Amino acid sequence: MSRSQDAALAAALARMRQTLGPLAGAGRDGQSPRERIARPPRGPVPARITAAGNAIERLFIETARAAGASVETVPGLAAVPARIAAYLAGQGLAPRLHRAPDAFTRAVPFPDGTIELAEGPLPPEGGIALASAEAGLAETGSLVVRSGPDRPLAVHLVPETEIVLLDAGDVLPSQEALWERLRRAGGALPRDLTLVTGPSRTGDIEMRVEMGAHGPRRLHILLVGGAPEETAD
Amino acid sequence: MSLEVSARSFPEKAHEALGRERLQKTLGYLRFGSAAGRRAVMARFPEFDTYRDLGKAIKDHTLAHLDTYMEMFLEKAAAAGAHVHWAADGAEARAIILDICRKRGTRTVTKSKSMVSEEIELAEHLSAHGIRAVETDLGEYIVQIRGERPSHIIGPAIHLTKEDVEETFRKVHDDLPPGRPLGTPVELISEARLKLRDDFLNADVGISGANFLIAETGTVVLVTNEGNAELTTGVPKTHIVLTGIEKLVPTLEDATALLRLLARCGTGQDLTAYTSFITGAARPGDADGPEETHIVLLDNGRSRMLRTEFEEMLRCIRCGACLNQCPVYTAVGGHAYGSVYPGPMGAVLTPMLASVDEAGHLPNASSFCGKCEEVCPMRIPLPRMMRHWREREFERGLAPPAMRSGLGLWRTLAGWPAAYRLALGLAARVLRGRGREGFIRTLPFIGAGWTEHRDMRAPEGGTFLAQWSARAGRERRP
Repeated sequence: MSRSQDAALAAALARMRQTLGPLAGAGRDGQSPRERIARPPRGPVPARITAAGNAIERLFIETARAAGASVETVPGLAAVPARIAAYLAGQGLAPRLHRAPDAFTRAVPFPDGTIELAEGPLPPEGGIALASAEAGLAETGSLVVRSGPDRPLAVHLVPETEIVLLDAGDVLPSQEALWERLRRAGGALPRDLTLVTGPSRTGDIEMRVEMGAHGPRRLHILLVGGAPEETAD
Repeated sequence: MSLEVSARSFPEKAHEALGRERLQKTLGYLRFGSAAGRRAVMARFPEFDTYRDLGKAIKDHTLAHLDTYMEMFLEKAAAAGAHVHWAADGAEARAIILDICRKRGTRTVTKSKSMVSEEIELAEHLSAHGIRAVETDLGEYIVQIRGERPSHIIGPAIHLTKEDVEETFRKVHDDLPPGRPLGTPVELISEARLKLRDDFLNADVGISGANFLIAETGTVVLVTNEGNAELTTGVPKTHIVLTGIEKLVPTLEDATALLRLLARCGTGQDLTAYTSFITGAARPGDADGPEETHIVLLDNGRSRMLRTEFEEMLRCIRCGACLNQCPVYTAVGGHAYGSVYPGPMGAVLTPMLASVDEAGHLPNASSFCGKCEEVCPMRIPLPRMMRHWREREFERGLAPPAMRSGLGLWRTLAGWPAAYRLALGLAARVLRGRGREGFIRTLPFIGAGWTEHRDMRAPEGGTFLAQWSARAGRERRP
């Protein structure tokens, strides 16, 4: 900020303080801002989460589908290549994947020759990406993705189709649990932390919601280590 | 700004809007679509009213400590590597942003939808200085290439039919084959996606707004459904955030509480498809993201609303629910208001940002039915605040002559109860005579304008006073 901007900001803050009145330790409304930051109060837990009880994974599957994503559970990484091949064939898509460079995604054991794999930037027209998410949020069916050294954000935005691996153990009830996990890990946020809830969409033409505005048209989630849906109870 | 002049002519523009067939068709989608979407999403969120109280409490607490939370935000954002700038008004914000763009040798800017940038006419300013500013939200892109202004704070192109968009795309995208199919929304969306890809991947600077600013972490929260905000903020080397100071909230949990309200009231979703928490610039070693992040905090009249009868307006989270449910907005559309912020929230906010004599008609563009307050997730008493503006307007002698003389006539009559009763009784009889099946289709003289676009209910009995005395008489008899 320039020096004149600094002075203008200081003056504006002083005017605000004069308008709002003196700041006692307990805060102007009996709640201290420092205290609120130190111990952030939470809103009530939405009924859909309490109703799910231990079945958080199943709530995630339900809400993610409601948001327009497709979801399937897979027992482990070894089963992923065959499921991907089946998904791509079902959608009529060529078996050609752009693989994100993170360790979880790279651990998928693709047998030679079944699926063509590429790394690096995606082609401008989109293509199909395989990436992983840090966590899932059951309340809204959201995937939590973040920026980082082996985590290009573009992989979640540029493709026409995105396939995302999510470890079933990373399904959290809601955003509050995510904030708690972040604070336990030291509290530093990455540059970008995005909650992806279903495919990209727009309702800008006659209020009709259509998928695939600027981001992926299809979002397919593989819940790795998730309980098979038929027997889960 | 052009907004001041155009806000004067609401009555003429509203009249014109009522006669436009295509506009009325699209407003019909809004009238029915938004109410149905809202009902469906609320059925799955029984905590809505609890969260409205919570949302109001969070914002009231933040506004009472706006100075403190601003300082916390400034410190945390700077620590995360963002440059924070203070702009007292639109001119200062425009100068700051132009300066950043020039220093980076900027030719193309991508913009994610931001009402604050509309408020200060940023895109026009950049264009006037040789910088291409490309709107990337589909609705914003459509109105930009048509040379129009957004007509809704959430759905900028809500006033257009798909035929309107097709005509515009055929005219503007003249490098594409003229015979291509373009009759469906999917075809239109795919074409816009294709057209904007190059700009997304090659822009020098990305400019976004903010839905919330988190004091605890110095974080900027952005919500979109298209993914355009993430492409705007994550790909170019420089990211500029332009936002109003009222977007502050204390903590991540507070942002979460308000996010539970925003999309439900805005678009009838639990959460928008993309909700981004952006903190500072790219860290060393990050695979992508901007080298520089600037946050421009704009006042532009907001801080002077603190501790006034308009303070509660600063709770607004720009969901657009009050527009979608307003009988005036859904009859005439956003352009009739002639201001960046239309509908009930615009009627209260715009005069504060400009000045009351320049946007004086807006608080009158209301039937005071109270629906806006009923649906507002932040429980903002919009009708009461519109009344404050009307009082100010009247006190300053700015009300139109017809309204002033009408009120004068009423006052004179009200001072003579016998004459008042006689006049009212006469009027009721005449109106009853004009009614067909309980409705009056046309009225003469100044009533003609009123009945041109709606029917008036014909009086069914005597005047209220006559019925009241008759009833009192009946009750007195044992």
